[in-house]
Amino acid sequence: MDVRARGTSLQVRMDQELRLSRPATRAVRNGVPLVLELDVEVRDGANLTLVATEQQQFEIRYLPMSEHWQLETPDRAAPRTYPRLRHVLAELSELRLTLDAIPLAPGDYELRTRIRLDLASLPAPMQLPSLVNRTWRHDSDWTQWPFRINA
Amino acid sequence: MALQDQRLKRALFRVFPILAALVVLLVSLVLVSDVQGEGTNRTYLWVLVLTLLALAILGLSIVSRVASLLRKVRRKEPGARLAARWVRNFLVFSLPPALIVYFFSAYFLTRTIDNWFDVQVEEALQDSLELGQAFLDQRTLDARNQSRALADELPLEDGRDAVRDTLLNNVSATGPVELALLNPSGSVVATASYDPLADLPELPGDYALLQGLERGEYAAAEPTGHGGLRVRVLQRLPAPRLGEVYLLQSIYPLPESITALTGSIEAEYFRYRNVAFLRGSLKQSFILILTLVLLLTVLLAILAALSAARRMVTPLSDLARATQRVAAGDLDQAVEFRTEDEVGFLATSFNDMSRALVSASEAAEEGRARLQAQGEYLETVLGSLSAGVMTLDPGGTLVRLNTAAESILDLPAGLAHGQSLDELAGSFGHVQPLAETIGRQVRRGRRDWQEEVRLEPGGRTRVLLARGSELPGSDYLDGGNVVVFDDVTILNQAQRDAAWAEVARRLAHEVKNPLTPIRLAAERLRMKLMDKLGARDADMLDRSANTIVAQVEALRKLVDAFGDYARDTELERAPVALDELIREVVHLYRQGDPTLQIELDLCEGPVGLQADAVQLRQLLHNLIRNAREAAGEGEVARLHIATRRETGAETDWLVLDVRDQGPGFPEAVLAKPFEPYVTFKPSGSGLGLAICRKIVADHDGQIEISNPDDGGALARVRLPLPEAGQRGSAVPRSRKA
Repeated sequence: MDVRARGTSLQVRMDQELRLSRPATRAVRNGVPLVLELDVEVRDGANLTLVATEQQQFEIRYLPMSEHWQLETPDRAAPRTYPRLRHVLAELSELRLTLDAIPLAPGDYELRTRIRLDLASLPAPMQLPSLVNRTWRHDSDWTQWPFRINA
Repeated sequence: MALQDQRLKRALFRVFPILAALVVLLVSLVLVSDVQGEGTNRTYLWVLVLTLLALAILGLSIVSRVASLLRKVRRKEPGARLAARWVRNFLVFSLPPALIVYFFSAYFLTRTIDNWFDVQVEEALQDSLELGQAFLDQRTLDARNQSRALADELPLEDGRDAVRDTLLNNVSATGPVELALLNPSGSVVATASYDPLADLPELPGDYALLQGLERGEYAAAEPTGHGGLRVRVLQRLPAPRLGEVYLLQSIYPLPESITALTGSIEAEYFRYRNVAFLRGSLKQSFILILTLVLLLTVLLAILAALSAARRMVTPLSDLARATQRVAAGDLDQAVEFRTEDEVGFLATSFNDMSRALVSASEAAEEGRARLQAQGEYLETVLGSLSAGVMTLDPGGTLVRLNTAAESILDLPAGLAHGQSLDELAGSFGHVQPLAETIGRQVRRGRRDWQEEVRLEPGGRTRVLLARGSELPGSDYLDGGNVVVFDDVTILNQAQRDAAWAEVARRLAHEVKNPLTPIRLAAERLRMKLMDKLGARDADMLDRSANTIVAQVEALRKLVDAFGDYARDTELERAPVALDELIREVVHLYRQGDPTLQIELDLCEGPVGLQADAVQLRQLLHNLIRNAREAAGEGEVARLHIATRRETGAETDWLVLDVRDQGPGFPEAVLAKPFEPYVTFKPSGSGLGLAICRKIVADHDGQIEISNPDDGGALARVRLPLPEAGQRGSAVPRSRKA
């Protein structure tokens, strides 16, 4: 993870490893879109007070006619397509985020991120089974990264 | 306040599981209503947790109540087994239908969901998709061939302008609409587009670029960002010079009609696949909801069974406990009841019965106390009577014997109760005459009778005057007989003593007077005729006269003795030291009779004995003489005289024992020990012991004679000693006889 401040925005580069479970892959191949939620928090480095928060959603779809995979990201108006699922996951593994309009005073901060599969976005019949089935758990732990804003 | 808190807790304890059950029911309904919806409800997890929590509360509540019920059954508390049976039957009859409904519903749901999906529709959709894909494949193949041909025509050796011209000449509305020459990094070297307003060509992705470079070509139908489709072809061009590699990218659009159709096929196919895929999840959700409903039903059934059993059994248990307490004697019991049904009626009846029992018990207790008081009063009266009273049932068994009766008959206290007269006579032989008399009189059937009975307890004669009456029977009394008897021995003795005194007085008066003239006449005859008779006759006269004189003298002594016995002596009481008096008398006997050996074992004094010393001296003379004469003439007589002080319940006694080693008193004497003229000595007057008894009686004492087990005879005298305040301060000297 790398964090750089540019004015009132933060440039975040995240490298992570994403894998989908077999049920999740099977579901998306059968037309169930999967929504991944990325939670980002900026906390004060001294007392861990929440300074800013951001949530972004990434949606993965499968297109059976062209047998391509589609990734919808918040930073692009049109979705991108990929011939393989691993290309989608590789794209998500190297995220470049820009957090705008975050007024940060000089000092030490901590950036916390996590990514998880949004079970609530699943179709209703899948929600109860997904609550009791551990294979549907796609929650990463919080990852912290300290950074400093210089005067 | 504490009681209110307790009631509140109890109410909450009862209501809480029901609230939990209602929550479960509500949650289940929500899930059922929303299971086919498209909503993304984040509260599902909390709802599920809440449901499980509610089920857990229900389960714990049931486990707690079942455990409590089992403990009560184990302790055999009233009503516990009935409650357990009630719960068991309730479950036996309610669970099977619930399970049947559950399995049938699950089967019905799964079959119904499966029926939603038509195999033919699925195949048609699959075929449509494959048709679309075949079309795209064909279009892609055409584009690739076209792109290959174009690649062969590109004049790479002629420079970029020649290439750009060639590209421009080959773009068209039907395709390719866009041509671009790319270097291996994907950068555009030259490009041409059919649309003059088009932006820079859309670059291929990494995968496509890699495929084009490694395999020589890449051709695929790709979705556009706006939901359409296009065919992208990458063709590796032959290198004009060593080290130079280029890719020709051709973009072929699809007709809008085709794109719309493929889009529609894809959307429908996808929707169908989506629903088909969700079929399993749908069934799982329904089974889960059904399971929750089943659990809810079962748990509620158990809870309802437990609650119903408790409500039904509690008043019965209260009744049973109250009945047990009544049976144990605690009659004042009341059972609370809140209903007007049969149980309420039973509780009311029980309370009425309990009150009636309490009233009856109090009345009985009052009657019993009254009877006890009367009994105690009767017992006191009987105990205070000097006469003996005994009651017999119709079978001749002793029902009651008062203290005086036991004393008169020499019976141990309480032993005679419950024995028949025959058994009593068998155990205590001296009662035999009384038993025979009572039996005989009862058999005669006379209502009232009276008879004198003579008993001989311990060798002494005891005369009883017995009077009997028949007791009438009633509803509560069996009847029987009551016998009252008095010890009239003393009365008889007194009568006999008076008679003997009268005889003695008459003898002394009638016999004593002629004795002196007889003696004088005999002596005068001997004196007048002695000288006138021959020696032989004179000798006979002398012997006859001596005989007359001797017999007259003996007769005079006898008359004197009768006189002593008949005389009413005026006692001159004074403090007497009995030990000194005994020693004086014994000293005289020792001097006069060397064959008499007397051992003394005397206590000092005792202080306080008020007696007539002359009478006591006479008493000692008589007792010692009796003992001496028992040994026989010329034989050594051994006497033992002892005194001791004896502390009694009401007064102290001075006990004087005179014992010899002779043959003992004959049975005739023991039978009538102090009867005048009852003697065992040929020369005795038979008045010695009678005089002793008279002296002792005059001193308010007691005298008894007996034959000890180790031989000899014993005369025991008991003289009362005054209380300490009435004694003299010093031991006085006894009066000289």
